[in-house]
Amino acid sequence: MGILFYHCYGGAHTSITCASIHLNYLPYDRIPETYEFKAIPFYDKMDNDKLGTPLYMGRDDLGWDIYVLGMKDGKSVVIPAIKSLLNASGISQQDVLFVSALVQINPLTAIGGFTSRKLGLSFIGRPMTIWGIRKSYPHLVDLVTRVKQALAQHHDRLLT
Amino acid sequence: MKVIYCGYRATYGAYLMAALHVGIYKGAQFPSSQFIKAHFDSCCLYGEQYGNLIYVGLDESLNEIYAMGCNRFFSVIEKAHTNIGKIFKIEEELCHIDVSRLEGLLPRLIGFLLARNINIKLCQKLFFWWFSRKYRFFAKVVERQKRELKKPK
Repeated sequence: MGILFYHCYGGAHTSITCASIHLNYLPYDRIPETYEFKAIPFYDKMDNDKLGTPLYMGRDDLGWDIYVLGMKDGKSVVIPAIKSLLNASGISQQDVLFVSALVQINPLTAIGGFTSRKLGLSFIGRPMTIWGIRKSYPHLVDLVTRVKQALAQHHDRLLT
Repeated sequence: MKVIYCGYRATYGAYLMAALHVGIYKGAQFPSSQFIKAHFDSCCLYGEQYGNLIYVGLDESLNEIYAMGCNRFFSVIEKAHTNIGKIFKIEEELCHIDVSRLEGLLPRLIGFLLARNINIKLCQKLFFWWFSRKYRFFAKVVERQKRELKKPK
């Protein structure tokens, strides 16, 4: 169908969580336990020097390929740069979507992410990110639900 | 191949190098003040466009030459472009050249002042001074870059 990018600052926590909810790796109806976050592929794994590299998370039930992308605080530059390249290469952007996963993010997630990814203290940072994400989990579920509804509408429009 | 000259802003060092690459500016001779004024005008108009590929032309090896303003995100954009190329199976090779360290801090200051409409006359003078100081240096760097691109891989 198309390609959907969940993007955030480091591509290690919130966007990974959103993509995991989207692909049903994480539940919609309850807040997951700590071990469930640790079991997600790529959770708290993105290195700083690899920021900008999209990570493939899987294909959803409508056939969209779901990727995760960390772009620091440069979404207003990086997204136009990607779209510009697609445009210059003659590729339609109709089925390329970018969704910011930085919605109502708990400050603890940001501090934990910095501690884990920037300072390399993942034994302190990772539990903090999980604690923060569990706090804002309902917002992330809400975001993904809205994204999936929009994709379903898009899909229906193509079929009719 | 797409050769993308990436500066902090697109219209200063990145455009200057791209223009030298395609031959809009002849490296051996310093351009007339009319040319430099036109370049400054493009900085006033498009200096704040970040992330847009600005097509400058084709070089003698038929490489497409672009200029782009990457702000502080050169490495992120370089990786994003390379990997997006793989995802979408864009077969054309990409070559990103980071100009932001070569152009110095003056374009940032000029861009900052222009974005806030502060003393355009002063900005123009600073731009002319920067241009005259950097022109020959950039011409040499572009010549070296062209030789690198021609080397078989």
